[in-house]
Amino acid sequence: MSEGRPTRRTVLAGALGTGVALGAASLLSGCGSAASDDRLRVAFAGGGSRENLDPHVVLNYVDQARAKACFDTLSCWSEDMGAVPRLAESWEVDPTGTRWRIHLRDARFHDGRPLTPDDVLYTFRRIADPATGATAAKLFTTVDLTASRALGPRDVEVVLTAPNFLFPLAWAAPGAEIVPRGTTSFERPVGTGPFRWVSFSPGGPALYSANPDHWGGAPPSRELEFVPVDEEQGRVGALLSGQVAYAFDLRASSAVSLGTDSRAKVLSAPGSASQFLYLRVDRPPFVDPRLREAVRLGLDRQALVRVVLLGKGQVGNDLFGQGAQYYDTAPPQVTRDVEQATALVAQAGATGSRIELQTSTADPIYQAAAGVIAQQLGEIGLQVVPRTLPPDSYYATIRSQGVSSVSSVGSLPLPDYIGRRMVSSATARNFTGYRDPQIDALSAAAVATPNEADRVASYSRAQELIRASSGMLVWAAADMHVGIAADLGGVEVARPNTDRWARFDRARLG
Amino acid sequence: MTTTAPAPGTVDRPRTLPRRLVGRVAVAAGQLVAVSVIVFALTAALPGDTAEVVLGQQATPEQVAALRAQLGLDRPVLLRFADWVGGVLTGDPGRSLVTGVPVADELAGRLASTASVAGLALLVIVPVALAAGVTAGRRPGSVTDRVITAVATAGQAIPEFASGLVLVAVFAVTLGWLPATAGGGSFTGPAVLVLPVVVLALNQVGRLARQIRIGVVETERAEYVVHLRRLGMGERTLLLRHVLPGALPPTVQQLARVVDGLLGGVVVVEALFALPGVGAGFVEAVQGRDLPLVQGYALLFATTTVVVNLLADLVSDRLAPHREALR
Amino acid sequence: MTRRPDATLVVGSLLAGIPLLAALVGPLVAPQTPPGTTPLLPPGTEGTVLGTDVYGRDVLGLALTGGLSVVGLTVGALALAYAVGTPLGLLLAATRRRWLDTAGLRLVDVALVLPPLLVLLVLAATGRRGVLWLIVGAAFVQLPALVRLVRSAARAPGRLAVQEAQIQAGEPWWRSHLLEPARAAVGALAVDAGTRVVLVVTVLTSANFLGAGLEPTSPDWGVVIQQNGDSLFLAPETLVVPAVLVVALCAGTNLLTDRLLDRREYV
Repeated sequence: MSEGRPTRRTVLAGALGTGVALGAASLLSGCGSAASDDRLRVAFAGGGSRENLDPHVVLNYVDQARAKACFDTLSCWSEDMGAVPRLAESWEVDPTGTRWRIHLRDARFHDGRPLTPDDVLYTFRRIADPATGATAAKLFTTVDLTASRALGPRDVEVVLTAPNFLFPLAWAAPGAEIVPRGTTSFERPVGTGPFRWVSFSPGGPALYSANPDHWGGAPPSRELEFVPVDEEQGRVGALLSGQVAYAFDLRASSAVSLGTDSRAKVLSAPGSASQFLYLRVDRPPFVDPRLREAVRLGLDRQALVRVVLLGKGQVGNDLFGQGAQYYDTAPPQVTRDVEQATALVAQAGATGSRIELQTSTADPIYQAAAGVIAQQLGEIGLQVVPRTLPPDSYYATIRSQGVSSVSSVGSLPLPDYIGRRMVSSATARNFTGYRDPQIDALSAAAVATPNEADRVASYSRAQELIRASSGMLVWAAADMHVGIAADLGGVEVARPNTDRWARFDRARLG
Repeated sequence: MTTTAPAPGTVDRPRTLPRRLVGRVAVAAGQLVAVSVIVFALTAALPGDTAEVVLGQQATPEQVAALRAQLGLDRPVLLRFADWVGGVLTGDPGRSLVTGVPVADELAGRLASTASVAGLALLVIVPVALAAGVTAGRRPGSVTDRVITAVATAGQAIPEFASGLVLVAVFAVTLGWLPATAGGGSFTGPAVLVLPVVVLALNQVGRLARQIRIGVVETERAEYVVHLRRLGMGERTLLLRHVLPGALPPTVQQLARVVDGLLGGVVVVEALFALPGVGAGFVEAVQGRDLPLVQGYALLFATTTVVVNLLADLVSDRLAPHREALR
Repeated sequence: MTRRPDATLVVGSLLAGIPLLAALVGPLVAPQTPPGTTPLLPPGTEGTVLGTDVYGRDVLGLALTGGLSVVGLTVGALALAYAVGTPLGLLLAATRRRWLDTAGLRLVDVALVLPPLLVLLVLAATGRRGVLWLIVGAAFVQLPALVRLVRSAARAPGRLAVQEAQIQAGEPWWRSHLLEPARAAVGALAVDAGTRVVLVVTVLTSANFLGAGLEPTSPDWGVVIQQNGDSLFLAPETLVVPAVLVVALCAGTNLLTDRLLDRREYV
């Protein structure tokens, strides 16, 4: 989810004078301890005035975090990217992989209505409807909505048009929150989640109150407020001054400096954002596999991790999803070989050729990475010139133009990554022009088999192909840093998009 | 910015105030038209459009095309401009393409924030600059003058984001006296505005104080002041009746520039303190390729500039009736 | 006037001189940090004097190499602004047609009314980044004030009498209306340039802050301050050196300008 995240969106909020009393109250907490009232304040970069509370359209991390507060999903992703139950208490699948029986938890929406199979079916229908523009739309296109039905007050049968033994992974995807049937507007969202909506202004703060009737128990914090602070320096300042108790997405340098401060703690989730160097396989010069291999061998990943990530990450092996289920650990770690890389560049007749590397201010990592990569590849005889592109149209630009670029992808299960991003129909996020019908077949076969060993084999083969010829080099899996107040408890280290990430229903100050 | 006193424009035939006002308003209207055309052209020249920006990178080309049609972005640029002009002339500047909120509402909401910051900043800037400028200007070359000048200069020289970070580090993070951020409207009340106002004041006081100092130095040297002092007029009367009025006209012009700058949105300070003001709104509108909104902001900024300068000229005129203002 | 050394002059020269020297001579003597050096080293470690910044660059090296762009961009923007603004202002002052003067002035004022940020953001968003575009943007923003200044200096009442005399004496139009006024305006322009340095530096650093300026990895002092902003809260030394240099440069130039201005008045 980190691609396409705007960095400098600023925000709309209503008139400033919303009442001196409210102001005085928030000032008090701003100056003293964040615990002086019972409101938990969490800072995220905002999404600007185009924000809304539709939990099925989640463009930024803050959208996801707000959706998680107000709604629940059927399942969640564990830290190793498997599916764990949430609103679905249990599930079973028939031998064909097309009929899923889901047993729902005894849960109620904020307006008192109980959660029913109809709500689940309505949600699936709404997500799959192209008019919604849902983030997870593609994961629900095989749901046969006419054949799917309620089996009882808390049991639902979902019928698929194609076998999918990994369907529970889809229920946990960002933007798959269960909404009450018939919901069309999210001006006043009603969910089953641990917090109830109180107020929200697009681009401005969002306030929620604890839901005492939540099926998981009442959250200890009486209120939860999402505070939009786009500048990372602003989030660090707000955290250290006690205005907020949680600041999401800090730079590695802040994580290092906060490590020595007694007022705050840093939660660093390993392997949260795979850092890519994309080489276009459908255009010269990287249409030549020798040149791609030269770049692979020319990168000094250790140095990149040390300099660009300040050591806060794991060295990459050109595969997405370190630490996740189905990640292929078989290929030996690629190491730098300047001599062979230089020879390959010479063989390809590219010694001294000028190559433009696209980069952006969209993520502070990108430009630092591009600079170090350019210098490292200079040592193997390539003249790499970084070119900075504006952040708001960066991903659209690198999709259509240029020969190489830097980017990153957040945490996803491998089946999701391959099934939604690597298959040949995934044009929107294809940044290297790589297409291989074998990947489509392997992805389809992997979800269609009940046999776990076959599935592992299919995914290994697919990763082998991707690693060999996609032009996507993963130089590191970067940590994602969250700063929290020293006295904040009940918040765990978690990769973005997973169950425990941005989960505030156990968070307690003091 | 002139550092010398405005030249008495003796060549100009004096005209009556109403006639000059009418002329000024006509010219201002022309300027607004020119600015809207330029801004529209500049924004339309940006790569990408609202449909792409709103839907993000996950959108399929079909979705983008559909939204483009829905927003009317597939129509020729000139036609869209004509529509917009028609709307403005009938008092409707349109709606934001991104949010659908009427442009006027969007501007009003943010202007409230900007105006309170600007107003408070002026409340600090004007008295401090007056006191500093007059004190320094009455004894040019003295130690007091040098200290004041040095401090004013240093304040002017520090980039706003640097002074802002330092103030946050000291007063919010280390001492814990003041909030570090407004959190996009999450934190309200006067304390939130203290650091932004101080950052702005640090930057602007110097500019104004230096102008006042120069004005005072020059008036003090004027023959009539020297003469009045020789005649034994009290220093207090001399200062209030003659020196200050003499120094004010160029100061008012400088003040107009300060006010204009503050109302035009102080983008850096707004970003640093997450204040939901017009500067931040303008940047977001440009990033979202939200043409009606960008146009709305451009018109707002242009109108502010024109009105503030007009007021400044009128005030200068009244303060110094023997001079014609710079226009 | 006294002959003893002028304190303001000395302080001003020192303040402006040290950053200028660092900017112009620094690049020749700056220590080279080997690529891939560990970032955020404390001062005095691993052969560095002032430690390294967030990108692993020697802070002393940054201080010595980052001034060239600050000085270069500022001088470039000022030169461009004066090259365009001076002739414009002189022509407006020279014309006898009042409507032409007014129209010209209003046209220039459009630039004043046009949000300068829009200009810079548009330049950056259309991929027109880099030194030349920054100079153009920063110069454009200065233009309206400059044109007005030149025009009023050339129209000063004292000038009018001189001009009358020159016309009587049969001097050519360009001499009486352009060259002589230009010569008369030089002093005012020089003083103005000194104060304008701060404005230009401010515009440039703001552009950097908004992502419309130089590359974030550039050693430019303004960029280094911004990129290392976080370290201010806990380890401020990275930020202090370039910040002090920028402030000293601006403050020194301003002090010198004020002094010159005062001197001129005494003459």
